[in-house]
Order: sequence, then structure tokens, then C-alpha cells
Amino acid sequence: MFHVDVNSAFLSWSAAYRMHVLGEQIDLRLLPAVVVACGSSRHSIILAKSLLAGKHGVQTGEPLFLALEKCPELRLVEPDYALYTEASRSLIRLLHRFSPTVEQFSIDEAWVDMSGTHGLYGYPVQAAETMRSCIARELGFTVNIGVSSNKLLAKIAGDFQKPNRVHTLFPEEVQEKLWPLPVRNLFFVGRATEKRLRLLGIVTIGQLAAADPALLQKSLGRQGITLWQYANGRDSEPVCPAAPENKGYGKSITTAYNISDRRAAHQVLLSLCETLGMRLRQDKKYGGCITVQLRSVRFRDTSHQRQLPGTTDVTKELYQAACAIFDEVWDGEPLRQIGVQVTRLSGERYSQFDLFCPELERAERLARLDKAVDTLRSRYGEESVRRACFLRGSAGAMSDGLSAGRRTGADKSF
Amino acid sequence: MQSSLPVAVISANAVDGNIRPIRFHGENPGQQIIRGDIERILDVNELCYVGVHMFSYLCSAQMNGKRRVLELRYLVREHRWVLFRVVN
Repeated sequence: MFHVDVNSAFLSWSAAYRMHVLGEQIDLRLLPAVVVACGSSRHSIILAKSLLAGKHGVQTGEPLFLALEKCPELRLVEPDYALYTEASRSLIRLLHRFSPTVEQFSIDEAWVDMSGTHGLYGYPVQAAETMRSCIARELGFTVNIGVSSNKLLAKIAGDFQKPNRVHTLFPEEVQEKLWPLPVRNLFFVGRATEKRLRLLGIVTIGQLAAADPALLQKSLGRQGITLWQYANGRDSEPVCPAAPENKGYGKSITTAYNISDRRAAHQVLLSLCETLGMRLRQDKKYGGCITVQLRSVRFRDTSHQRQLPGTTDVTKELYQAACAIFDEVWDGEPLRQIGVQVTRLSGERYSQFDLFCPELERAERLARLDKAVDTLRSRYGEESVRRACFLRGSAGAMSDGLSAGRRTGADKSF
Repeated sequence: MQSSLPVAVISANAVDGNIRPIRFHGENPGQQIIRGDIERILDVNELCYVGVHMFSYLCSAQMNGKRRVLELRYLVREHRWVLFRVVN
């Protein structure tokens, strides 16, 4: 099993594009450079950093002004999401030349099941070296490849020393290479879990592996047993070439301003429902349950959900349900983030209509209207048709629209 | 820092789909006109750096009265030519 991870993906891709397509002589990967969202405003967020920027203490996810304090000579690079999507697709296409079983984990990571390819590419490390040099030569960027017998160990091996390396972490190497590492390096251990493990006196992965699973279960629930298995290098997950079907569709937006009036909040909800409705219709799915999530300026999270009488993909129906939920749950505290989720998905639309009421005809007309708008947007761009209420409001008509899926790598088609 | 130069190209497209650049014309950052007549194509390569599909043509050309070896690149998706580098 191989885990392939692009080194500083966004930055590498931008640097390779500038060198190999624009013909620039300077390689950004060898400078303290970062990719920043939202231009060079002080509050922009660091999306990716070069190794040299990392050595100055710059961290992914931190605001630009903090990064500039650590490293004033930082080179700033604008993200190019269309390029990143294309680079990711070309990587997956190349991996398919080595094995038919490839699972894309994110825009810049994938697992490759190399079982049965020994006769073609030789021993695992030899095959990984061939793959690594092939990617560098043909695509112009570097990757780390982790080699092991399961997905978990391959991923951890891929995170060892960077860049442009092949590392192994076979079960017989777990004691030597995995156990001395801090527990935070283990897959699925975040800040909160690390804190709880520390309370149990567990600091390294070795200590977690030697801990009593019953104690871990008591403290962390089922996750405790999973982590204990992981710490012992056990993982039986197979590589799944097809992306699992969505269980729900969600979209949230953090606004640049505080939302303190109902009208503005409804406008944001409409923008979110436009995007969600379009995604549902694109995938021919209908949702039966709507959840609205709110985050206040004091980071207080609230959420509330409602079952619909049937299922729908009509923007207006999603919007009306979301507004009703919002009005029920909002206590007037200014908001910074609003999210909408559609779950209980079905492949068919069903509704309970009253025979003597014009509801049926109205729903059909709305569905036809949405279809026409989708066609226009797919042909002339997402900004080609917008509701009049967005002409003066501060919310975007589509809250990033479908491009958000492509940006995050959620759109895995290639 | 950009060193490749967008150029207009007259090319011949063969029945098998092969493209052969014949003449190019562009303007460098100093706003000087650059013209070239391709004499010979020395090498053709298909490239896909960062997923950008392109063809690279290493050519011998008469450029502003001098014989030069240079590399032209055709960006397939954008239908655009660039003078990528002048080798000598």
C-alpha cells in the first residue's frame, strides 16, 4: 500500500506552473513563500507554505499579519484553484498508470493499492521510487510516498521527513519508527483528543499502544479502541476507488461582518440554499431534512433541524424551510457564521399534495424555473443569473457556488 | 519575473493532426517587436506539467536577422503559443 502526498501542494503547484509554463527562473519552493487566500489583506489566511517559510515558524491556517511578523521577506502567491484541480487530476491519472486501485483522500493525497504489481515494478521501495521520480519528471512537482501493508501506516510513513522522499513503515518497524512519536502524529488525534490522552498520562504513540483498551474506551468511547488499534499499527480499511455516496449536502459561510438583522441573515440563507439546491439537482438527489447551524460572534454554536413533509431539491422550498428554522432558533445575538445542511437524501421527489390546492402545479413550476436557471448558469457562468435581492445586498448570490466543491477537492471526478 | 513571451504563430496543421509552427511574432517587455521564421524543428515533446497539457517545439529559426535555437510551446487547452526560451 502506498500513500502519495504532494509536498506543500498549493505552493508546489503554483511554483511548478510559474517555472514550467510561465518560464520564470525562480523556484518559489526554495524561498520563504506562502499561498494566501483573499489577496494580501492583513487578515488573509495562509493556505500553504514553503519549507523555508515553515522554518521561520509560519504555520498553515494562521493570519497573514502574524506570518509577516515572523518572516517579513515572505513572498505572497495568489491561489489558482483551477490550476490546483487540474494538477490534482493529472496526479490521479498518473497513479492509475501504476495501479487500477486508487483512492483519492483529498485534493493532494491518495492511496494506491500496489498488490500484485511486484512483477512490473519490483520491490515496494523500488516501485515507490519509480513513481516518485515519474511524478517529478512528468508533472514537475514533488511528493512524499509512504509504503506499508495498510492505509494507516502508509499515511503515517508519508508524513515522515519531507520533501521528495520515500519512507517505509511496515508492521515490524512500528516499535522503532512509530512508537517514539508524539500521540498527536497519529491519524484522527486532534488537539482535544491529545489533551484527554495527556490527562491519562499518554504522551507518545507507544504509551497509547501499551495502554489498557478498557480504560481508553471509558475515557474516549469507541474512538478510544480505534486509536488503540491504530497505535498498534492495525487498520483493515481497504482502498475504495469510488468515492462514497454523499450522506448529506452542506454549506456554511463565515461572513466578513456581523449579521445582526433577520433580513441580512435570510439573504445569506438564500445564497446558501441556491448553492445547495444546485448541487442536489446536479446529483439528482432530494433532501428530506434541513439543519441550520449558527455561530455567534462569541463562538457560541447553535443548530436546529426540521423534517420536511416530503423531499425536495427546489431552492425556494429549501430556503423557506431554512428561514422557518432560523426564526425559531435565533435569539438575536450577532452572528459570524451561518450554515445549512440537507440530509435524509432520496433519489426521488415525493410530497403530500392536497388535490384541491394549487400546490402541485406551483411546485412543478418552481422545479422548471430552477432547471432553467441551472442551464443558464452552467452555460454562461454562475454569476449570469442572480436574484434581484442580491443586487444591493452584501451576500454573494451563490456563496461560492459549485466552485467550492472543486476547491476543496470534494469534486473527485476526473 | 515572467520570461516566456506570448506570441502569435502561423502554423501548418497536417492531416494526421501534427502542428508545425512556421512563423511567429510578438512583443517583448521592452516593447520591441520580435519576429522569427522557423527553419527546422529539432525536437517535439508532449508535456503535462501540473496538468497543463502542452507541446514543446525546439526549433532553429531566423530571428531578427540572426539564426537562433529556441523553444516554442503550444498550450493545448488555451490554444495559445509562447516563446518559452531562446537557447542560443
